[in-house]
Order: sequence, then structure tokens, then C-alpha cells
Amino acid sequence: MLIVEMDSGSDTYLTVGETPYFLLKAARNRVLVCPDRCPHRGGPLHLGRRDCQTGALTCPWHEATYPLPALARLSVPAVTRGGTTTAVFDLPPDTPVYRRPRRITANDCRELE
Amino acid sequence: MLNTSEILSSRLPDPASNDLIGRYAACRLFGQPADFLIRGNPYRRPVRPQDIEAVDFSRPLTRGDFASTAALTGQRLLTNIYESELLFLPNGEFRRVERDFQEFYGDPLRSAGERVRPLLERQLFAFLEEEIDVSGRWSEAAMRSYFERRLAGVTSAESSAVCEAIETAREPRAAAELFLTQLASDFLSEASAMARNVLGNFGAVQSELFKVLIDEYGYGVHETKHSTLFEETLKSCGLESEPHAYWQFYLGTSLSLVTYFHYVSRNHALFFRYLGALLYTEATLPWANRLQSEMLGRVFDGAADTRYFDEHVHIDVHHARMALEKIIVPTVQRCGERVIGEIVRGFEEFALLQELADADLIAQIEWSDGREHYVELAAALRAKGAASRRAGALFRESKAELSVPHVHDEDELFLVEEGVLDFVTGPGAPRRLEAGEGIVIPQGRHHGSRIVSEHCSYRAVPLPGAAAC
Repeated sequence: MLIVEMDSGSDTYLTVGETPYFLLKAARNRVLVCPDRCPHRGGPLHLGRRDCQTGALTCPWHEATYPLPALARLSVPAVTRGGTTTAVFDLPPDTPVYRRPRRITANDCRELE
Repeated sequence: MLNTSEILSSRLPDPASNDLIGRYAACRLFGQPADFLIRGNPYRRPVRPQDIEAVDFSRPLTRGDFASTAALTGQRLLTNIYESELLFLPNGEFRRVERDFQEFYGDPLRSAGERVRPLLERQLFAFLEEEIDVSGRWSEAAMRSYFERRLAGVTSAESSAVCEAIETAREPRAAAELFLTQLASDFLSEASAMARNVLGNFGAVQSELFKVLIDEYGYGVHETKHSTLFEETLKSCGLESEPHAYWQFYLGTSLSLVTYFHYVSRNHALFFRYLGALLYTEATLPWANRLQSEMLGRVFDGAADTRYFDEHVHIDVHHARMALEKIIVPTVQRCGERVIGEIVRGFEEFALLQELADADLIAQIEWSDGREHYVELAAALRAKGAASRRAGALFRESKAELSVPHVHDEDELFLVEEGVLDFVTGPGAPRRLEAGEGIVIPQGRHHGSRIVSEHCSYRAVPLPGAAAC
């Protein structure tokens, strides 16, 4: 298993092995470590549109929409405490990790601040 | 989208909850005591009912409130409610306290406590939901890796901040006594909350939990019961060994370590959190107890009976293995990986409470040990005119009148204007303050007083920022 610690505020986007992930705000102080590939056709979920009332996320490619519980099931197991998110990836411990801060339009919701 | 605290607070009727809590706290047993130490009566548990009105129990605490009046008052009340379900008998003559025994365990008080228990649990523990987020889809392998990493981070340290604070104090023995009295809140009735989880019928895990429990209870041999071993530690260090003799000196954060286990054990819907908390405590105790045993040996020049701590260095290695391999993993296999999130949450919630308790205890040790500095600071502030005759509140009290140890939510300048009193910051020797003397009490620091002269008047002036001068 690979364990990665992230700053919940600044490490918004990372590539683990060959898979991209982003930190999706689920509510105040709550984040999901979400794969950046839509289960439908692999679209970039981090550029998706958010329903700020329900938290559901719509993929920009074909408008597949995922409610929060579905996004939680897609996400990597993680614990967030005191601004640090610790995620556990089902990958060898020496898997390379690249952090690339990016704007996550899926988090553009004042209600989640 | 509402966060957890907002949801919880929106459910609470403010005046109603304070009124219910006020009625419970008004019980004679929780009122003014005659002494700082309570001997021969485990039912006398002062809660300072006069503070109830100042606390909004409908507002869940935040992490920053851990050393507040609200936290201390709530923790004292909740401890009393949970412990009315445990049996305590006095060490002294039973007849002398029989009326208190009947009242503590009687239906009127217990039913009043049961009505306020959920309000207090929300007030004291809702912040954990805010502070800790467990997300994603967990597997058994991910859970194992996570726990391994977290525990290695805690137990690889070569020293403990609490032990360091004790040994570097000007008076290490007084600091160690303060430390031991905090442990007494838990260790003298050790594993009582755990006993709530061995009844019913839930397969092989039930029997594994029972094995851990009987270890804690010394297999029925009283001399080896863990609480008996801790009584011997207290006696060897010159301290009282009766349950809750030091009730008034318990910090709110020390009590939170006791009440949390009752909270997640009494409500079986929180059983999975209990398992996580159990793993944290069983897996970190061998490390902590080894350092504590060594520290006590040095501070008391070999006179401290450290068998309690040494026993845990040994047995909790087994308990940590049992908690993971024999209890948690079989529970996950039986109930499904969906329960792992709750197990991880319990682990992290207890870890956070332990961190807060350590930080609070270190702050109390440092303040108590350095109180001469705060006496000098008070003199300097008085010389600068910080305490005019109209400032703050003036209290006039008579000989032997006692102020049950408490905390303030802002720094306070405390000045004796007439007479003499003993000022306490822990179970050790008080600091006598005479007319013209005073002390700065930092926000959140536990203290009390008792009047020594026939009459005494003292002034308490809220002075935010004074302790940092």
C-alpha cells in the first residue's frame, strides 16, 4: 500500500503512478480524494460542474452526474485532520507521486467553504 | 449545506437544555464541598452549579474550547451521569454516607441525568465530527496500512512531551503528582467502559473482548487488578488512592478520555468507533507506559511503585495484536468493509482527545510550576494600576470557605485585598497569598482557593492578554 500525505488546501491535484487524482471538497472540512477520470468515458472530473446545494458533480464531457455518495464510493480511502489529508492507495509503496496544483473548477462553490 | 455542528446545534432548544442541565447539577451531592480532597465518599462530586448559567450547553464546543468553563463543567456532569452506572463503595464507614449512596444511585437523579446525557454528549463531542473526516472506500488492507503508519508515527518517538514537562519542571515531584492525579480519573475504575461491550451475543469477537477485559481485571485476583496496581503507585508516591479523592483537580481534558470511552461504549451504534479507540489506546500504551515508568522511577528516586506501568508495557503489546487481529479484522469480515470508516474515525477521535489532554496537562504543569512568575506579574500589573477599586468583582469570604477548582475563559488578575488565602493549582502545596499579593491566572488554567484568615476579600479582574506580559 502507498500512503500519501497532502496539504488539503494546496495539494489539489496529483498523479499517482499513471492515475490522476484531485481533492474534491465534499463539505466544510471534508474532502474526497477523487480519481480524475469519469467512470463513463474518462472525462476530467476536476473540470466538472457542481450542484452547490446537493454536492453532485457533472462531468464536462457527456454530462454524467454523480451524487456525493457515488463520488465517495469512487474515492480513495483517506483521513483529513488539521489541514492534512492522508490517503491510502492500493499501489506499491515506491509508486511515484507527482503533485501539480491546479484550479479545481469542481470546487467552485461558496457553500463548501 | 449545513455542517455537523450547525445541524446538531439547530436541534437543541437553548433555554430548555440549560434548564434541564441546571436541574441535574443542582443535586446536593454536586454542591459545595468542605475540602479539596474528598475521602470516604465517592458520591460527592462538586460541579460548581453556579457556573451552569454562564455556559450555553446548546453550543457544541470547538477544538479551541478544550480548556474552557463549558468543557470542564460539561465533562464533570457527564462523568457523573456515566458513573452512576458503575458501582463505587466507600473505603470508610458505609453508614456515614448511606444517604449519599441512595441519592447517587436513586431513580430521580439517574433519570434526570439520562435526560441531559444526549445534550452533553453533543456539546462535548460534536466537534470531533468537524475536526476529523474519514472518506473513500476502505479495504481491510488499506485499514491495516493506515493503522501501521499512524501507530509507527506515535510510538517511534524517543520521548514524551508530558514526561519531559514533568522532568524539566522546577519541582518535578509536584508535576508528577499532578500527572498521577489526572490518571486517577481513569485508572482507578479502569476498563469500566470496556465492560459495557462484553454483554449480548456477537460471536467470537465477544470472547476476544472478554479476554482483554479479564486481563484488565487481573483474572479475578484482586492484587493483580490493574486499578489495584495503580492504587499502589499512588500510595508509593504519597498520594490518596481512593477513587475520586482528587475529583476537583481533574482537568476537563483528562475527564474527556474517560467519558469518550463511555460515550462510544454505552451507545452500541458507536461500537465500531469504540474498536478504533481501543486499538489506539492499546497500541500506544506500551510506548507511553514505558516512558512514564522510567520517568516516575527517576522523579521519585526509585520509590514509586511502577508495576501498573510495567504491566501495561508487557500486556498491551498482546492487547494491541488482539485488538487488530482478533477483534477488528474479524469484525470487518463479519460486518463488511463498510464499517471500516467508523473504526478509523474512532481511532482518530481518541488520538485527537489524547493530544488535547496532553497539551492541556503540559500547560497546567508549566503554569503550576512557574506560579511565582505569575505572582510577580500580578504585582507588576497592580503597580501599573491595573486593579483599581472599581475594577472586576470583589468577593468577601469567611474562614475555610472554598472555591472549587475551576477555569476562566480569559486571563484574570487575582488580588487579595484583605486577609489570607491558600491558592491551589493542583493537589500539591498551595501558594499562600496575603493582603497585597496576587497572581495572574491564564485563560484555561485550573485553580481554586480556600480562606485561611477569619475574613478575606479578594478582587478578580478579567484582563485579556495579561498572562502574556
